[in-house]
Amino acid sequence: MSNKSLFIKSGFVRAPLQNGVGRYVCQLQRIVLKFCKSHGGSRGIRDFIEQDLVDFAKNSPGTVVYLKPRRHRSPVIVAEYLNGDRVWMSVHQKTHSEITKWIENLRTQQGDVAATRLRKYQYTDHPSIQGPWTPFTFKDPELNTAVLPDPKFGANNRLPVSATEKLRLLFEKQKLSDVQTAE
Amino acid sequence: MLRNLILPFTRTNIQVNSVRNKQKKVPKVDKKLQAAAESLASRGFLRPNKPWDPPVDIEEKILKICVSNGLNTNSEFDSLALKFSVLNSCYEETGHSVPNSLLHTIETVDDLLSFYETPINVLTPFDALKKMDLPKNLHVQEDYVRFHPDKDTLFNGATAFPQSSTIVTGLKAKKKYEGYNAKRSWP
Repeated sequence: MSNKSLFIKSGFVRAPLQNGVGRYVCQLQRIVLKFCKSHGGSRGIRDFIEQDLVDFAKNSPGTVVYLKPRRHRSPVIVAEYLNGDRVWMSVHQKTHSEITKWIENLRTQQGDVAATRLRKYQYTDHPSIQGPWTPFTFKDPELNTAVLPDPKFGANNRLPVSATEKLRLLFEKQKLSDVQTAE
Repeated sequence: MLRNLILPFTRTNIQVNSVRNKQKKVPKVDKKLQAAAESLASRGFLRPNKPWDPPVDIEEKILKICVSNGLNTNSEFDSLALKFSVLNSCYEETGHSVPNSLLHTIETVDDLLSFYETPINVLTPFDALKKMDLPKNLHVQEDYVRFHPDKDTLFNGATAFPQSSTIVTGLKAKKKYEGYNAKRSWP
């Protein structure tokens, strides 16, 4: 699946203007609750309006809340964000607790996150602290002034002695000692 | 497997019958009643009660009426005729009568007093929002903003939805909200 075959826009994990590092600015600009005063599908949102709405408005003073009662229309929440995104959500037949959770979700997101495919799940401004790896990072600094080819740097000592090599060395030693005893 | 271990330990003869997929018996619920109750709860209803705000001197008024009919506090109504005369005179004095559904609950003068002291508020919670002090960032549209070409002030009667009429059905709603019939063909 490549990007050109997808309609969803892609993005990275970012916060607008380092939101939260210093002060936190609520990204929800306005939220509009449209509901019917008598239809059963608006029961959840009506309960929310009667019980939790004023507290919600008090807790988020930077967000404007509009209440629009509409006859014979199904209930809908429209959230608009500071980056221009507009999220339309139908809350028809949703319960009071579900709506509370969705509204909390809308309040804390920074735009239409559902419309963005995350390319990476991490983001950092400082990918490397001590400097990125180079091929000379863990090498002997004497390499800087060495004249290559150098027998010390060209020695075949990368791998440990294998069992076969050990046997061969033992054999050589034995041959030498045999020659010595023969002498 | 556990059964095989446990049984030899108990020296009694236990017969364990296990039945797979046994039908669980559930008590029958009247679905129609449940549906009606759900629908009523969702719609919400406001019975056309008249509002009642008990005045300060209501207690002495009621007691005066009861005493004049030959009762003192804590006494029960002896006969239905007596009860009727007492309740009727209370209604004539105050304008607030006992509804039929609560008649059987009023047995003593104390019950009558407590009935007259309970206030009845007919304001819906949504209407209550209009009255209370709202935070500045909350804007409530209390009444519907409806379009009628004759009463339009913004666009000289030009509708945003041409050929589209607003039809209000329902007897009570017709008195409250005006619909209109849009012109569907020209001329």
